[in-house]
Amino acid sequence: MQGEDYGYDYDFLFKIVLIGDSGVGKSNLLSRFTANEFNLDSKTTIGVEFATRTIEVEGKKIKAQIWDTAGQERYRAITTAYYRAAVGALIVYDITKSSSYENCNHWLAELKQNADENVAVGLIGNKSDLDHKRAVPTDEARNYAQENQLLFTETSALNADNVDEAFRALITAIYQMISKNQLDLNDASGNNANAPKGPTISLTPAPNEKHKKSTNNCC
Amino acid sequence: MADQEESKRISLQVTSLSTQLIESIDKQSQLEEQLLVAKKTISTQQNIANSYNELKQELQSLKLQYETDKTKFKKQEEICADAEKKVATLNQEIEDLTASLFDEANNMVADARKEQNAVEILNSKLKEQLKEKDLLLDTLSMQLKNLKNVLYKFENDFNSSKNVSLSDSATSSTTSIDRSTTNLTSVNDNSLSFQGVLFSPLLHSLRYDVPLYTEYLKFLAVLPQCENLQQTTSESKLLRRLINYEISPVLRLDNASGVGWLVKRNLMNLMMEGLVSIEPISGINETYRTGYSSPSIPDSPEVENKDSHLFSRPVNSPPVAMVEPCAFCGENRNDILEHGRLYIFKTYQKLENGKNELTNQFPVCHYCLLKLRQVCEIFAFLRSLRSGAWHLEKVALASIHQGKVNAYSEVTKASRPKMKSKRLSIFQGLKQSQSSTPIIENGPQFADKNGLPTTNIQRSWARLSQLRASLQWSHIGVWSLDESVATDIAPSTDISKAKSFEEEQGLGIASNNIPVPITHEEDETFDFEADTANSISVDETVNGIRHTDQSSDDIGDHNEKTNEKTATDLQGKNEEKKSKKIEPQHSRQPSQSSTVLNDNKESAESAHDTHASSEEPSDLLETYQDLSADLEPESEKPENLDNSDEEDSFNDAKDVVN
Repeated sequence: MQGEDYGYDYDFLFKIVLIGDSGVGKSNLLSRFTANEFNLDSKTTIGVEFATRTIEVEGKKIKAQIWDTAGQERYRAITTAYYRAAVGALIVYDITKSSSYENCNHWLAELKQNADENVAVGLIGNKSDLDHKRAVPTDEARNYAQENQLLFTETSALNADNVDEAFRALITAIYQMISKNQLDLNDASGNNANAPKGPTISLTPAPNEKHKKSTNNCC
Repeated sequence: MADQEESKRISLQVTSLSTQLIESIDKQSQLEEQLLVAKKTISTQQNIANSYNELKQELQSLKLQYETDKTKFKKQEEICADAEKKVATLNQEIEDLTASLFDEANNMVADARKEQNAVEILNSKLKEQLKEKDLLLDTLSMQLKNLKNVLYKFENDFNSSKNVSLSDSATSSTTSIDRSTTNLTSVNDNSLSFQGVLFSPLLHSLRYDVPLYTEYLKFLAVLPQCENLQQTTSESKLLRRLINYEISPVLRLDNASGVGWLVKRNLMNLMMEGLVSIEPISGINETYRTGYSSPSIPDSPEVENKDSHLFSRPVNSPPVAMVEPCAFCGENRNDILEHGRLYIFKTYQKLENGKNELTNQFPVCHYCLLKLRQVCEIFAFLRSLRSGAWHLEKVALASIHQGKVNAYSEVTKASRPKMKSKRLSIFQGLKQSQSSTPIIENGPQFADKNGLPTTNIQRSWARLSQLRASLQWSHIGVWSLDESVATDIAPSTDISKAKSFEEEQGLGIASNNIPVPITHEEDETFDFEADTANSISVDETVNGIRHTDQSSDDIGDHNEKTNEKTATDLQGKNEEKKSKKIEPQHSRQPSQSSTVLNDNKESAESAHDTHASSEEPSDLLETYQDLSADLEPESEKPENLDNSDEEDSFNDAKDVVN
């Protein structure tokens, strides 16, 4: 009865943050994923907004609680507070704006500073519908993602291209990491519970697979 | 006598003695009898005494037995008393035990009840707390929302405070003279912030009564049913005119030396379909663009920056260019960055499995980059209109088929009188005067009193005008369009507001949702007719050169003429009809099979488009013939189009051979 109201009907709750420069389309990515909406007239985000969507991964219901942060410098103090306890992050850049891509470095550093150590990170090149205004070649971005062990997808919130896939890939990666982590803990608990657990997740194979998908014009 | 006396005495004595003997015998017998009786009684007495003794003995023994029994009994009694005592104590004990048991049980139940009660109380308290928290959360989020709105407003106010006089003019001025004077002051006010603006008409000076706008409405009406932009050409001349008069003269694909004729024919189509990409050879090139400022990284460590490989080149690498001349303008100077070919124009082919395959790559100089990007931007915008993101009001192509016009107008009159008075007034004009010129009461085409667009259709038109203007600027020759000042034109998402605008048009209602033109526009009142006149002079020279095509052009002209006539007739009858409901459209997904199948036809059409310049004079002529044009069957048109396309593609091939 009340479980409905509070949405208890899920197996896992993942907190995911959306970060990236102002105007790269974070809010529209979120609204596309959670409500399948797109707004040309969207205003710049103040502070943070958040939305949830429950998806199923490997038979488990996973509730993704996605925090959409403001990209503007002036809200930086507010937004970094929201990195805590996030298990996943999407760094978004605008493929037509080189500066937003260059700033990914900065966002990654900030994320590592403020978030948990083994947070799963995805790199997203948004606005792929503006291919004719592209400033960031796909290959370079993919190489960069590979080097930093990030998932990589090019999306278009306007056309809804790859938006679902990008979020799904991240959530799946988090889920796999967590289930693997739990197994590790179970193994370790018998012998020495204090064993240093530093599961380094290698996400490198994912970007290639992802890209194969991204070229699909699927919806 | 003494012997008688003695005999008498003896006789008397003997008689007395006899009697005495008799008496003694009697007595003896009596005594004997008595003795017998006594003996008898003695024997019985003896018997009795015997039995008595026996009895006595028996009694004795019985008494003994009794004694023993008595002791036994006493013992038993003692045991019994003992037992009874024990029973009593046991009973007591049992009673005690049961009492304590019950006590304990009661206590336990009481405890449990108490516990339950406590939990219940806690539960209800928690529930209350949860409710309170929810309420608090609601109010807080509401407050946050409101605060954010305040912040937005504040930001807007801050932005427009730079431009106070202009917004004043938008709200207060009523006559055009007033407006122009206030604008003048506003320009003076802003001369500091926008110093060196080249040319910038304002949003409210944009016209919505140009013929191309009608074509745009037609375009919007048929767009939802079309799979690609190309298909709209059968109903709307928008695309054709944009390509012929604005895009082709700017791109001058016929002069593009580096592009093969096969690609050249198909290029416009590819751009329309979005199957092209324009990107720098390396992302590092972007950092050298005019007006580019490196992103400020205040707190990220420098070391990290150096280590990362954002680009395939080192961070401080010079830009990468190609030696080959620009494929479009033949630029081959290597003196400055803008002359260098820093960008690649790629064309793709849609494969059957939905993937895109790279087909061609061309080096592009900065000048052509701007032009190509602007062209693609126009097409991308037109494509995006299908996605529903613009929340366009519904436009219906009222009765495409001739003869149904009257019936339709009557239906609308009966069912939607209010709408008719505002929007469909054109029907009345048609019925009364039989004129095909659109007569618009209330001037809905003129937006609101301040000239600001009131509908999302008008906003999208303004956006299109902006894009067309920037294309012209890229043609005129600016280094960069990035720094240009331009208003962000976006649809109003408030549907109810949009509706009220529709109904109260001409009453000059200003809305917060409409961006106030705070900056100087790029050329938006780009005069369509003047432009055609310009392009004619250019195209005439083309005609002069290509006079070998004349015969086939005539055929094309003829076909075009019939098209023009029917289309312009429609112009008179087709109304922009705005439904109250805005239908969201799904994003555009052209089916691959049809694309592949149509490929030949499309390439032919694109050939037609690139050579359409030869049609322009007649087209212009027909714009003025529109008024007197007759109704003609619509059904012929598609075949005509195909014919002319085939002819043109044939000519095209001939050209190349020549």
